[in-house]
Amino acid sequence: MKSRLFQLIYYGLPALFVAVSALALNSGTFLKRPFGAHDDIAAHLEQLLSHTEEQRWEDAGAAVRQLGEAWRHVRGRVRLSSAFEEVEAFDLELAGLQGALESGDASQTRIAVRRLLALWEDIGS
Amino acid sequence: MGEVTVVLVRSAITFFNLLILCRLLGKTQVSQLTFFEYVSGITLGSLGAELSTNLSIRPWPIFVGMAAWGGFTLLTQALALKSRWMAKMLDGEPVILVYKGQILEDNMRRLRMRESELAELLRGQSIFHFDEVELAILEPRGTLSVLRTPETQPVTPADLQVPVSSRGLGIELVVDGEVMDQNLRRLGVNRAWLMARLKEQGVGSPREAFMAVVDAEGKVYVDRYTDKFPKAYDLSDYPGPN
Repeated sequence: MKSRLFQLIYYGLPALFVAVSALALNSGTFLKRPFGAHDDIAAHLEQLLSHTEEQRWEDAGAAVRQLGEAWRHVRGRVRLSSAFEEVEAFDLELAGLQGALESGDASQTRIAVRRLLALWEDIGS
Repeated sequence: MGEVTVVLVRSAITFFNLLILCRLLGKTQVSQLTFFEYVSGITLGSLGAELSTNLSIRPWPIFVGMAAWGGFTLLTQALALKSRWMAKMLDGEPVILVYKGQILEDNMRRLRMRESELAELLRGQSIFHFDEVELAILEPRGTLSVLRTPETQPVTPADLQVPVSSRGLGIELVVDGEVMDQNLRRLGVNRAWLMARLKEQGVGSPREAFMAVVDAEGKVYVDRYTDKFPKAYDLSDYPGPN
């Protein structure tokens, strides 16, 4: 009985650790999913895209603020499984989007939203 | 999760996974590894370092790379165990370097080995003259196995039919000038006994001895801090940094 328990620990613990490691290093795939409306990046980006296409700039501004808030929640969750540059790129594109909206540049805003959508697809996957 | 936290988590993952991998790969000592196993170990270590601290790369592909290197190493070990042909392909074969005192230059060239390297390996076996070697074989793991010529092989007590007693395990009495009181107690002796033994060897105080050891027959060996070494035994035979 004792030796069976020992065998279970001897082989089971390392196997469990390897499995947990693999899960942690792939955690971005499930941790990027929203836990609620407040951190639904994909929904915010889609909303933003629709506002910019219909040139509702005030709504777009509010959507960017919500997107920034959502990203603040998700950013830490996807850090472990992502490359540093991917997270930085999202930060920079988000800043670029805010700048484009503030200056009322419609084409730059659309470019920034499309880039953010592409970046979001890659992060953690 | 900040950068430092990410590095800490990645390092913990790397450390324990490397530990598990190394335990899986066996207990072979570094000196017994083949060149490829050595290179494989370095690659695994390098991948581990990347996984631990290189935040510019996604960690999962590196983890897969580490698992793949470990898996392939295990696979080659298993193949070498199953098939002698594979073992020969993967590990190589022993090569004769000296036969009846003659160096086999073709084999030396094939191994890209210099005569000085062969001499060094022979000296490691307490052989200082090539004509004392009947057969010297370089093993796949880089060690040299030597068979001395019959006339230079040491005579054993069995050859002379002399009864001998074992000297047993040497017990340290002094290490780095410090008396090992615990060992004195185990032997049932005291410091006065130790001082008397040291005096017999011309040592006035334990502080003068780097090491003092006694064997089962009661013979005491003492190594002093003051060493005398003749200049003629300098091994450097050409100008250059020493």
